[in-house]
Amino acid sequence: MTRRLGGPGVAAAVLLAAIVAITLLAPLLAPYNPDLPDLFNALGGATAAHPLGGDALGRDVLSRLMYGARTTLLAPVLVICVASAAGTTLAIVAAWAGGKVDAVVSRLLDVLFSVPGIVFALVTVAVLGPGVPGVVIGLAVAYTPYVARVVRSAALRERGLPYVAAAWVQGRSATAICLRHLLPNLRPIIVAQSVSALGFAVIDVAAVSFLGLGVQPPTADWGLMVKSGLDSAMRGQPLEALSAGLLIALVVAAVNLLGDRLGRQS
Amino acid sequence: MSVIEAERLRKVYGDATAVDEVSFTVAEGESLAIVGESGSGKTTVARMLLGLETPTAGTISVCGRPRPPGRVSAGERRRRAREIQIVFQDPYSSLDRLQRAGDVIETSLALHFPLTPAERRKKALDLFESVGLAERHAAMLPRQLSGGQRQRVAIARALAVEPRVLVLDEAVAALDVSIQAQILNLLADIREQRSISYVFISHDLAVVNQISDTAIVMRHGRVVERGNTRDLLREPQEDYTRALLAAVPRPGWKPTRRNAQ
Repeated sequence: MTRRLGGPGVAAAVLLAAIVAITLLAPLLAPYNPDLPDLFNALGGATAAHPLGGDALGRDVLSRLMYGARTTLLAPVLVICVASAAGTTLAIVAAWAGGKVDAVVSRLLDVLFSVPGIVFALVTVAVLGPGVPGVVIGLAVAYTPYVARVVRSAALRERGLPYVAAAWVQGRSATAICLRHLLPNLRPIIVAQSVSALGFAVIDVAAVSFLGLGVQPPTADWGLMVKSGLDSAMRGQPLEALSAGLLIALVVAAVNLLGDRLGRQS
Repeated sequence: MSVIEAERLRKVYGDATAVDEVSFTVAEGESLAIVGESGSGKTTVARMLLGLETPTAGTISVCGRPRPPGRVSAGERRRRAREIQIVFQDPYSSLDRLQRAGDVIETSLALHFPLTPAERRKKALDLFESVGLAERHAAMLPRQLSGGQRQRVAIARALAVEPRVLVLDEAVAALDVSIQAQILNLLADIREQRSISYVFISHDLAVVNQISDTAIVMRHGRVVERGNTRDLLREPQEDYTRALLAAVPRPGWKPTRRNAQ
């Protein structure tokens, strides 16, 4: 695995693992309560006590970053889990059934693919109200074709191989062939495509939070921190927006690199 | 009694006619060769026999039961599986690259026979032995096996369901010559031990001579000549069969140089 990922791939995996570990251990590691305002630290600069200063309400930026990874990363992971499951199911059903089913599924995916993810999130948020559930559902629909289209073409190729015909001639059921043969063989492609979609999902979730429609204050979230940090930056304290923005960029870069490396070996 | 009766089979893809008015029968225990060059429609005939393609016209019966086109129940498909099986040309893609050789056989057995896991394992190893593989091969993945060994696994998989007819679609074409001979010997042994008929599809007349009793020669989807294999190879009546025979490389054969312009 290490050899396949290469140096940069391993570095990206280590970085992501470190961020996940830090956010899981945030209650132990964070120097302050992330939600506790401290007026003496409002818009405070970097000090020994507050390495990244304070936000507009004086909450410790470092502590908020540590906790903020939870919503920032968990929501995109949920989006991709749902999108991968739905996309893979649609892809395998379409590839197996072929004909009209395939045509209908493929056109549906094309239509979904043509609409930007944020638009779906806006629609579901309009229905369900601002918050994580609406964003996750909307983006999951938006990311389904991202996984499905690639997996479908791989599944079509796999389905044409003689071992599938042999299993059919042996009398195996379509379900058994899809689950026992196609799915395991498609797994590397599904994983690679899902991981690279995760990078985009992180950006979209952060963007929706930035618009104020995703994670709601006072919960710590990187996308939200970029937004509130912009106001602070106008008032002379750019550390909040900069640090949160930089972390989002780092995570996206690391996830994309990982997806790329995983895709190459498959 | 004939195990296969194919009557006036026809398969059309768009404007192209792949198979045209092909009829033949295979008697119990007989080995029929279908010979022809690439694109002659012989593989399409094989796929229609197995139900992998639906004939545009014509009828197929296997073991006396007609096989009309259309969907069939899972139980009926398993019953049909015990009548006819196939070994494909490419030993690399005809096995799931993630499935161990022993599991390939055990999966087939589990699907068709009520056996305890221990009996199943025993029977799988017996099958391995009958195709010249050893117990240690059962734990191997396809990539750990050679082309000849993979083809043996594919043959064992087909035999596991105890079919009455085995279709061999260019089953030795992808193997090198010494391995070809081993597999042909194996197929001959299997036919001696079991009451099984072969439909042997090949472009290679040298191979056909060893394995088949009767042969049909196909060209552009039609049968151009048929008869006893030995007579057919010794005294071909049709120009096309003669041309196929002349194309077999033999000792002393020299490629004729085309005139340079």
